[in-house]
Amino acid sequence: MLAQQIVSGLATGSLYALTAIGIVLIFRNTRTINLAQGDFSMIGAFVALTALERFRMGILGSIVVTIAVVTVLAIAVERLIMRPIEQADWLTLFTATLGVFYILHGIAGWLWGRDTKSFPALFSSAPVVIAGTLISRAHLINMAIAGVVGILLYLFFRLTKPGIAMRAITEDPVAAQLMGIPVRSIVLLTWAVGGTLAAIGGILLAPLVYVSTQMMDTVLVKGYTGAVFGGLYSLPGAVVGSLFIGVAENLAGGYLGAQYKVTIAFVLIVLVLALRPRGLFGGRARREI
Amino acid sequence: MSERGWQLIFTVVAFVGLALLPAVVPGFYASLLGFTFTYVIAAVGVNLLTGYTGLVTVGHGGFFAIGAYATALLAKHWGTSVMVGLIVGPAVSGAIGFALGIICLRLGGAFLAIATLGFALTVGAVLNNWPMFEGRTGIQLGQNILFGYPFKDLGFYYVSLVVMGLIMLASWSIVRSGVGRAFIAIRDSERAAEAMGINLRLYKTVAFAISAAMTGAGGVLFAHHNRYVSAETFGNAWLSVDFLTAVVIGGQGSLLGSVIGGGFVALVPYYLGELQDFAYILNGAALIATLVFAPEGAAGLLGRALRSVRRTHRTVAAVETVAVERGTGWNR
Repeated sequence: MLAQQIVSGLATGSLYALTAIGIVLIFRNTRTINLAQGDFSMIGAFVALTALERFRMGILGSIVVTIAVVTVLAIAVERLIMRPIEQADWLTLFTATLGVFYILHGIAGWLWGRDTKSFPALFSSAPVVIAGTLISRAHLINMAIAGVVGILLYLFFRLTKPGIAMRAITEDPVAAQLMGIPVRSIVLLTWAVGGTLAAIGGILLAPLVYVSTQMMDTVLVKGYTGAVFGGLYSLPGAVVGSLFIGVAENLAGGYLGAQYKVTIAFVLIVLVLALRPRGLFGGRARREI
Repeated sequence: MSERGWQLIFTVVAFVGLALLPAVVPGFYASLLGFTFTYVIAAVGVNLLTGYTGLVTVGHGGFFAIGAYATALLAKHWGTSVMVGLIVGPAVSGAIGFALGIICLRLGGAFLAIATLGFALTVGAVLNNWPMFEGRTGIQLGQNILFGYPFKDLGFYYVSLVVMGLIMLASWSIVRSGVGRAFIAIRDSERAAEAMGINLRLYKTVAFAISAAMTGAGGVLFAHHNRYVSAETFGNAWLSVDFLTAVVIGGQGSLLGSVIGGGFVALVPYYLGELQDFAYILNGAALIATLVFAPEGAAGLLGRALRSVRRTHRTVAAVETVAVERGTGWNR
């Protein structure tokens, strides 16, 4: 029972991590707390649903289309809204993404309606027995996908030029620019990666939380909580934080009762912030991936 | 006349105008305006914290909800009226604001924004899930009564007008007192303020408490206006982001800004009615346009326009005076 709770907590947590990583990536390169990160996923879930059910594209085709649409959307947001105000203070950047948040909610409600829609299960939830613990196959696949995405990101930041350039901008944007790194293109790329992650997160979350304009509202805050664990800078911190939240809320739901499940994430966010304002993994000597 | 003199005259005229409005305008929207005033009250509270003290909050929907549920629960269990609500509601939300202020003392900037958003959603989750708050079923409030007399929309209009006036007056006096100057000093530079001997911990917490109490008062009136509270309205982050939007669009650090912004976010969804989605799009577009074209907000834009008009006046007058003195002017 306990092991089961923990594993399914890890599975949901790994999906929160996709949101948290997107938040951290965009924050540390642009100082922007992106409130629209959840909406990117929400739009992604709607696009995937439309591709699957209206256009009968099949799972793989739908996933490709969704990633393409959301990535383009994220690029458009950077190019049209965030870039003109890139030099502004953090509050301006933050409220600008709040503007995007409103607009994307409005557009989604207008295009797809306000009612909640169910999303076909992409993977069978038939249980698999591992070491005496029943684990849903969908949970395993979700974790595997999130893990693969994590490894790809790690390799991207370690081995590729754009990835290293991104880390350089995180360290010091001015120095990065002086070293000849095309900061604007890399920032654009950061948003694009954020959009891609959001699309994957949206598709994987859709069967769990159903598809509606407000499907990501609480997930977004859990993503923030995860990100805050890493002081909004550290990617491993964000991942660990997200997994921790997933497990904590599942255990609270299982042992204390369902009404505590939703409350616990928010209590955690306030607590972590109050006790460790720079994050559990933050601190003075920040360690990047 | 001095700028403050003009402001005073403008304010008095505006309030007398609002008080007389129902008598003059046929088919008067008393209910709609009374509702709008509750948003303005909340925006005044948020502006005191975000606009004047520089502590950005995305969580005041939580205090609005606390005020609303305080009065709703009192009315449900003890049949109290709006007057009791207006005393207890702000007291409760102010006390919780004080506590949140202490918890969030070490947080600044973006981290505070996230923490307050977390607070709003915590309140939302509690309202949704804890049996005493009745979740989405909600709590029904009885007939509104003031000093033993029942009242309807028009009465509510005057009650909320008076409360809004009092809260604006309070905000105005605080901002011009030593406390308010401390708030503004903290906004402009925490370090400088501390060096000047301002107790950051004390003033930040006090700012939180006062601002939460004000927004809570808005929530109390909101509950009595709808005579119904439910997690449908209070269980999400929309109120919180609406209030922040109101302050940014209207103008940070401006009372007039709170009025314009609060009015905007309250009235846009109303006038778009069934077109809810376009209300969201319009809000977002207005927010982004404000940030790009008028970062000081609508009130700042208005002030700038007025000042430039007066400056032109004054310049013309000055030129004429000089011209008269030199004997070359048009008035020769």
